[in-house]
Amino acid sequence: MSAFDLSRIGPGFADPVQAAQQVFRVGLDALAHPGRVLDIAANAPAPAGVSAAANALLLALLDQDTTLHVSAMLDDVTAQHLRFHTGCRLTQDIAEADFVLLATDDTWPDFSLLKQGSEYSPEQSATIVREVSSFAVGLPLLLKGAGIATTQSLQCPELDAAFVTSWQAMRGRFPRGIDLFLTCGSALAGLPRSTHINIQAEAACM
Amino acid sequence: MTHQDRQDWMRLLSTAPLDILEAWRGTQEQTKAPTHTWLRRPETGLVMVRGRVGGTGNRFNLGEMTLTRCTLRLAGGQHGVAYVQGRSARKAELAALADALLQDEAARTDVEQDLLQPLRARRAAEAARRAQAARNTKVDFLTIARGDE
Repeated sequence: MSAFDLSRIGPGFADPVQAAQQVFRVGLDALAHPGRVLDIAANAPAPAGVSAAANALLLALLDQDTTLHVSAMLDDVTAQHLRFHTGCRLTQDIAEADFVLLATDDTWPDFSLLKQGSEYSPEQSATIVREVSSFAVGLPLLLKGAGIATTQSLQCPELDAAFVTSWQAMRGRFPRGIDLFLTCGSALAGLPRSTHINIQAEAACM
Repeated sequence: MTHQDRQDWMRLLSTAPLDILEAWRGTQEQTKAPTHTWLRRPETGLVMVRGRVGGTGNRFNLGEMTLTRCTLRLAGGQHGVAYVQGRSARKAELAALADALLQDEAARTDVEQDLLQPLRARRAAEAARRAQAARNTKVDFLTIARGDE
């Protein structure tokens, strides 16, 4: 890791207390309504390659008791920026991270390599914050489960058939597993581990 | 500027009283008062102060103290960092501003003269006052030779 360089670090939230609470609330809503695309209004200048939503969410969620793994696809400045503002610990080892930040170009990691929590403490698991390129195109997915009255649809170019297969495999370990946030610009969607994900029937036939 | 120089002025600024800092700020003309952006606004917290017995022994926790820190960036690109004793956000802001200006070759002489000199004088006076107070209670032990030996 390169030496700490203040000149490459940007400012955090203009009003840290208010902004962090607002962002936390949006994060809660996103997990309470899986697949619903929400907007994060509170803003802080994000490092290059990181969306406003991912930056704001991590600034709000991280603290000195959490470990963060940042994708190798992202600039080292991203990790330094988040560490400077939140005091989080950085780790190269994805298996010991509480939060994992993945870039748009990343491939999905093997979910079973990440912290899964235990049967007694399922909350001690990893949360992935994943950059996606769009919420308008991609394989149409059908979500069911807690927080969804009937069904909810969701599509992202990064949510492909392989992702659905590994998500379904992870569902077998419930309540252990990982939670997922998808971010694009200032938009945010949550996929908690309780959500069932299937490929929409008409798409599967094609 | 060496690492040692910066350590020295950080030490002075960390305990600088607000009136000296404000007086220094007052001496700056409006044109010399640089604009800055916050990287980290002043925030107050606790830090554990640790010491070593005799300066060489094992580390131990001396106790917690209140500290306010902030980081700012001047328009010229210098970064000022402050870690000051107590809860005053204004103190931290002015100390960080001084730190940033001291790293600027052009501004250093003025800050050195208008701020660091008064702080050094105050520190020396305080040290002298303490030494005097200690001296006043000094007891010289002497033995008067007894005549029967």
